[in-house]
Amino acid sequence: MFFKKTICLFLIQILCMITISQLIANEIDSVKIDDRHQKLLTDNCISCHNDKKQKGGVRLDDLSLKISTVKDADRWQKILNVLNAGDMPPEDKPQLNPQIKADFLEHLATTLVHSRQKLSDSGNAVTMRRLNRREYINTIESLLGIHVDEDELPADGGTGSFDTVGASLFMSGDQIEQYLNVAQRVLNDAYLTSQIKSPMSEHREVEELTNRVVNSTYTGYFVGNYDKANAWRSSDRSKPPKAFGLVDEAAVNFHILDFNTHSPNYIRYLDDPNTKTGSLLTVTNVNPVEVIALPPDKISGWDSRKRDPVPPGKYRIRIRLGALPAAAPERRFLEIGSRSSTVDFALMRTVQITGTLEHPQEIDFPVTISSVGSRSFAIREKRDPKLDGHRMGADKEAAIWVDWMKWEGPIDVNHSVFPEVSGQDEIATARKALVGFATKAFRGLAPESDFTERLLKLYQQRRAAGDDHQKALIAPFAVILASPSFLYLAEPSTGKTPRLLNDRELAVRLSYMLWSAPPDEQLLDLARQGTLHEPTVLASEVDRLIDDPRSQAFVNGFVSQWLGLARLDFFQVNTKVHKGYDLSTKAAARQEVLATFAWILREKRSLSELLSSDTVVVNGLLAEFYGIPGVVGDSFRPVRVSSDSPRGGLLGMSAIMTMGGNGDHTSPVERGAWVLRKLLNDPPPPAPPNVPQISRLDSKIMTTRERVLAHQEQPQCNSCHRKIDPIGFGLENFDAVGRWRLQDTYEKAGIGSKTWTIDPSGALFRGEAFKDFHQLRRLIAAKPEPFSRGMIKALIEYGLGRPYGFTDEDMTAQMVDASSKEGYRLRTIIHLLVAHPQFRRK
Amino acid sequence: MKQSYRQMDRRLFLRGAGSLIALPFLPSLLSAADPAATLPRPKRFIALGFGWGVTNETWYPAVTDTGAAYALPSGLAPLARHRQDFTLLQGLHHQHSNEAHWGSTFWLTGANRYSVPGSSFSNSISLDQVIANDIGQKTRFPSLRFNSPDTEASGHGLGLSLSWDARGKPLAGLNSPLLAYHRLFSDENTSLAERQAQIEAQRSVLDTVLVDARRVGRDLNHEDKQKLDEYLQGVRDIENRLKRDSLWLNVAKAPPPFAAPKAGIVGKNEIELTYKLIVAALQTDSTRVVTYRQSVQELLISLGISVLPHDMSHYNPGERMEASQRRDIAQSELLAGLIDQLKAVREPDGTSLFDHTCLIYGSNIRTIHYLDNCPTLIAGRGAGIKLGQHLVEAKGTPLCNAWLTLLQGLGVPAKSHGDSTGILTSLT
Repeated sequence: MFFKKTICLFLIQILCMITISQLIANEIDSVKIDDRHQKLLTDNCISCHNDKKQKGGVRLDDLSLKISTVKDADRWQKILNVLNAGDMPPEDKPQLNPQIKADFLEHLATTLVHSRQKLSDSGNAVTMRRLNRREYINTIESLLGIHVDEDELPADGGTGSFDTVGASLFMSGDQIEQYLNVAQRVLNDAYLTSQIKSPMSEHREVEELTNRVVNSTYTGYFVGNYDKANAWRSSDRSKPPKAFGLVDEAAVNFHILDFNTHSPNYIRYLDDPNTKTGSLLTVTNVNPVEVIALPPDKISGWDSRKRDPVPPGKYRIRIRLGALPAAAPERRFLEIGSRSSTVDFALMRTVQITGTLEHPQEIDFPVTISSVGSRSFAIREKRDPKLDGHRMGADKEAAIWVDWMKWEGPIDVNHSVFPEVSGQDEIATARKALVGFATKAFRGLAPESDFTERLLKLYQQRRAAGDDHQKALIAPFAVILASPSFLYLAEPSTGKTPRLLNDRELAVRLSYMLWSAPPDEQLLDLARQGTLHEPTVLASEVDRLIDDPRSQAFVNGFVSQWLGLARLDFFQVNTKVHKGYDLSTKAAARQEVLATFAWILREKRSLSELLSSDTVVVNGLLAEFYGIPGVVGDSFRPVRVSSDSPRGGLLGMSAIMTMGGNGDHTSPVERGAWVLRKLLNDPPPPAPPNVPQISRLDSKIMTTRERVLAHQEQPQCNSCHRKIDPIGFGLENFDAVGRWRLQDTYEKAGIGSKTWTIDPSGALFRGEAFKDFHQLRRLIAAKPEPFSRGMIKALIEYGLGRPYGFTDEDMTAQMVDASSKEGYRLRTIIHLLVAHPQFRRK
Repeated sequence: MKQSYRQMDRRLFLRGAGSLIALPFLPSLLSAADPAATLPRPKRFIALGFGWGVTNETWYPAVTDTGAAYALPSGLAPLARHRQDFTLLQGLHHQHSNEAHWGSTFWLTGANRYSVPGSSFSNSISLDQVIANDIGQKTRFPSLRFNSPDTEASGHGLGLSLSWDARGKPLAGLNSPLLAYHRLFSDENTSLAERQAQIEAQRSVLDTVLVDARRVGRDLNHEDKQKLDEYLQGVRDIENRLKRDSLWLNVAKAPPPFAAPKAGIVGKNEIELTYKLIVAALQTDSTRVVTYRQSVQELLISLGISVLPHDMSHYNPGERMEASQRRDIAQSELLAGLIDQLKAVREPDGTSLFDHTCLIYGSNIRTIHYLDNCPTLIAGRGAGIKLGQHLVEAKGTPLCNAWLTLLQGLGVPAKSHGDSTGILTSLT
């Protein structure tokens, strides 16, 4: 209650502070190169580049320190480039003092970034944009209850900003056709699903097929070939192996070795009493996966049953299973994946097993079957199968027993998509259905009558071609889903002066920001009543949307892009070195970042808990990885950690540390740059072109610190790295997957290796010193202001769907200021954005 | 033109779309004995872009070693059997390129990303599209754009393929060889009348969405109108394609030259397969203009190299440099295979496909973060340039000068391209 009141007070304050007339973009000031650097040019450059002498056709004496046009920026860019490349001053002329050069380069690079931003400022304009992939998927899901795969849709991006930014979401003829095709596909699927009157199911006692496969493989393949090989060996060898059924002597040797290697695993499996009542998921090649397949898919080539195909739709898979008594805790996890003709196992989810042989557990999860996607699902023990060959002793035994598997469905069928003919008038029914579907698809905007009449014509064409009433709706429905009113979030505006959004438009902006999905009935109702914009109503709707599970789409979409989590997919972790960091662990590590943000958002906590916190948000798998005891189960929940734990806050998270490396080794540079960019709101300029590379150290064995410090020898490199690298050194106690370590080793084949105790000490550039990670974290956590500012900038860009511009500085300052009074509570920040007049401005 | 969609008449809407669609030219009607076989053969164009640059030390010949007798560096060694048939160029660059990780965005355009005030990114038409707008109009597909889906890690930079349209918008590519295969050769076992009906149905779909577009467009400000124009242009493009389709209705798609590939082919195999498809597309005259934005990441993985592509591009002697060199060689082997195929395909007049093709192979990135001296290899006799040469231009020569030379060599009446200042006389 108290919280709500304070929020309202804030909103009113903010609203009083700014009036709509102030929203018109201010004249953009130009950016200026600092006067103190003028001397560097006068002393070193002007003598060759002046009004009389223009070496290389370049003149610098008339160069303005003010950058107010693209041309000015281009001229300064060229100066930056030649200095970075080491091309100027020429070798035979006096060189620049390294310290002065580094300072100048830092200043020039940063100033150019600023001036580029100013020059490209779009003056707060929110450009009409099409739905991005995530939004399209959620929108179809909410309209039809049908899942669209990301790969079916045109790609987003192309300009490297948030996927909500209109200027980077394009449209072309190919894409329109793609949208038409996807719409046809999902509507066909929805139609087929809706024809099913009662759900179906199939139960599978897994041992029936599995024992047959294992037994036949053992006796037919291993024993059979072994016997043939021995028969030839014990013969007088007057006949070639061919006469005994084997190709040559190499095959004879192979089959004997093969038998000796694998047959113990098969015998052990077949002798195990637990395989009489179910199957074991082995970590050998005996039975590594169990599969459930929806018809017409089959479990494997051994599956000879004939079954009729099931229609597309949502189905439920149920599995009864338990862990074997001897299974170690870290092996009590099950991976569930989809299987297709090209991919054997695409990880979907991971489940911690709490059931046992005596008390098995039942797991239950929904899957989507489409006319184009996979219909088979496999389960296996969580691990990196590539390392199976290296297992020893008890580690080679199976850990998981499966009783049965089952599918049921379709479930959650939406029967309202294709209405039946009501009354006598089929045309009237069709027209009503078209108007209804279009209004829903257009997010509350009714279609105009000439559009409806055209749709009706398409319907009649399909009827004339022989489709039944419901099926004939597919074609016009697909056209609705390829129309601009559906594909674009359009906010009409003719005049040059900004206008306020109407309540329906506000509802759309709000729901696409917080749900990446269309507004629900309640939002549209409030819009229709014209009350949504009222501060109290709007604030309580923001709370409702945040508390709804659909806000997970905001958390995933915003946080993944804000923090750059895509980098996790750029490389594979070397699991030989970083044992246990399999796909499930990586997925859980990524989820931790999102779950922590979601917890802070839902529990009304401060954004600064992302810098440092006494609480981590983990599930059983990740707790196992971090060595935090007492956490069991798959849901992410807050868990207290002691104050001397490195965990708590983004820097203690495996995903963040893993991104700051290449899956093998850490990269202090990546990590330092990430901290400057994301936590300290002090992004280093983009990697400059044409900087000379240092390669003289290549054959030396050095510590990471020594190697990285070589960056700082040349002023071109030093200008940025002196700021980046120390922070990275402070994080070196985290290995390349975020495990805590005290020592590091460097190995170079043929040269040698070196092990050293990590020295995490350092100092922020022109700032405070730190002794270790804990002190570094404290220094960073003491700066919630820049962190919040950076996050608010990102949120403005994401929420308003346009690049962050200089004209947004005032708004940001107001939001930072107002949220600081509330302890940077994350939820407050979102309220502030939604309540800000900019959020309602077109 | 801007107003025409308001009239709601599709044919009026299409007027001025600038689409000259020529009648299908049928290679099947020609035989070696036919006098038509002596007609000049059409020109073809291929652009292959590979994002991250090459290994400086082992890909470029020494700058002093120019002319026809230059020593072929080890990174290009697999191309030795074709050395008379390609030319290497050094010294070329795009003066406006500053993005150290963007190997493909401006490669064929030479644009300045900041040239439009109020916008943080803009681009201009790519070389291939200039060509497609000219010679591409005589085929079923004006251009084909192949693209590997893993472009983010592969050093290509922004864009959806190598190609950008006349307004500097990214053109989408075909993201898998399988998709391309079906687009090119998929069997249409429907009757002529059915296909005619399908085209008519698609036309009424377009008429319908235009009605809605008219409503959306009624009250839009300038920026939003530009966005909607992308949609309208898209509808126009489909209209043109339908028009083209109906002209091609009596012409069966070319028979597939090989069985449909499996889904999910990546890495080295993908590049190999795509090269096969490129040859098949040109051979069947389904298109005359092809671009291909190749994967680096998947290629490395398929070669068993675990170094990240970006790390590889920052090579220093040791594992990374070896990775970079192995990748150069693998790419050269693949390219040599493509040239073999182009040489092997006979045209109706007895010449080879290679004789009428201009192929460029390169990147905007030289090596590491260097954007000067873009790696540039030009092969094929299609543009009539001097082959078998190693040419070193003055430092800072616009890469667009090479592109302009090729445009003119291909018979496209272009006066300039990107930031070009003239043609490269050394090539002619």
